[in-house]
Amino acid sequence: MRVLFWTDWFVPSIGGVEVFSARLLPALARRGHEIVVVAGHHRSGLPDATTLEGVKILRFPFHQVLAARHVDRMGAILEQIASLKRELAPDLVHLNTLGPSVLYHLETVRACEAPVLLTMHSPVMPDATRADTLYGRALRTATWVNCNSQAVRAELCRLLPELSDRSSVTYYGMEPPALTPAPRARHEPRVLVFGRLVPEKGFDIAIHAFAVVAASIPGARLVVVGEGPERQALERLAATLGLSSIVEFVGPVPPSAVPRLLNTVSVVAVPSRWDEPFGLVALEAALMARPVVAARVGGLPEVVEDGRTGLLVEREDAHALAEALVCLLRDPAAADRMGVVARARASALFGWDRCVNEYERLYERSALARV
Amino acid sequence: MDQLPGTLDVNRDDVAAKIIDGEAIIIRLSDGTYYSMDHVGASVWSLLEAHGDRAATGRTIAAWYRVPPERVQEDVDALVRELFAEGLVVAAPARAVSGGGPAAPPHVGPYASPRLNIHRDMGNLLALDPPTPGIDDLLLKTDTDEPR
Repeated sequence: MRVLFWTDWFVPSIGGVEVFSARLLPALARRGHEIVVVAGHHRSGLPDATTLEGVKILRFPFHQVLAARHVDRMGAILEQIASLKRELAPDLVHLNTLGPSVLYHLETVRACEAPVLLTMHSPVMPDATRADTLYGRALRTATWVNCNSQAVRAELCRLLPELSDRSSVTYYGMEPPALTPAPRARHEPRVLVFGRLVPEKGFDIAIHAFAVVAASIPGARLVVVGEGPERQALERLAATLGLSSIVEFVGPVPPSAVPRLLNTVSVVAVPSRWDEPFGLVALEAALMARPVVAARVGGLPEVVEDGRTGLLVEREDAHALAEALVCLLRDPAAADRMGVVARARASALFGWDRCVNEYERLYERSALARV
Repeated sequence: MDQLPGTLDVNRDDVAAKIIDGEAIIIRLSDGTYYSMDHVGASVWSLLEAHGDRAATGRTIAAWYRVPPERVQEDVDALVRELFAEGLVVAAPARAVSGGGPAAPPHVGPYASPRLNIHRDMGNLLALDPPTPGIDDLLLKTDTDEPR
């Protein structure tokens, strides 16, 4: 199958979706599918055209031209895109993100009338119901919409009931790391939060919670991994609460180092305050047999099974988060059991081969569908 | 607006527009709202840009697409009303119609009532989820070994 994979951001842009896509597409290419990626050209110094393990990547300055309101340059890009679509004649256009670049796709639809698969990796925005938005137009005109969790699909179908019979859920998948999970530390335990340091992730809630945890569990430390605009504010918060010596800011780590990092911690917290659509962090933790304390938001309850693979707490509730962390840190045997169950469940439900198989079927089904 | 002006012109102070492959792309520069119209809409736009005569636009579209003028005029008026409300066209003094427009539509295809696609959320979409700053020196590696 020939697939035009359309995305606002692609590696080396950072994020769970980008890293996932960079693994999925070569896997599909290895199965004989021809994949061409059209991506935003957001960072200087990257080539306009390159390849990633058999996948062709073409970058266009979509965002810059839109932000500059430059109609002539937009016209030039549209002509290039139309020409690319005619030449490639894909069986399917896969809109991987619902961002500004989608306008370039919609305005070149006549060049290639292939079915369109739209994947939702983020919570559905209220603009979905508006007739005067790009977001709503893309959803209304998609042949098929795939969501990364039941929670995202439920919200999508609540807002746009007409999508109930042309939408589905495909969970992310991940290979179990080659590294064997290490026994969890019993003494001076470390709790990990990791991801982009942005308000949505709720790392401030974890720091507030840690004021309670530290008082209950001597030697406990909170490890904050990741980078982002909130870093200074989070460091200030830790200092204000007198926690500077027990909250450690590590900075970013490469994905290949995450299993090793997880082996050094006892529990992982995912205190997101937004409707986390899936929760890749929780999955990575589970694969390394780490119990997770997560907010009961978005798709996280689909990844973390309350009481079996971790504990769920209410959104923005630092006190409940602290109680759950203390509960797990005080009962290491129970936490160990949760970690073992989490790993087995993650391998069974969120395996990599299953994910690639499901995406392949999703592509085949979408290519045959018609609006 | 109860009474549509008989003659209009593109609001050139606040609009950038281009017809590409039979589609009109229109930008309201003051707030970055993006609009688009398919081929019949693009034909209407090209005539408004050229002479702005609403009635003559309807007649030309009817002839180009071989559809009854009454139906076309209703569609043209509905579209012009929307363009006017969006500030994309403004009332203008009469200009010469004859020879003041394209001789053929930008794209030939079956007639469909023109539709103005409005994308008011472009500013929000551009502001959402920018790439993580400060990690600019990564090479595109095949092992996806990038920091998060």
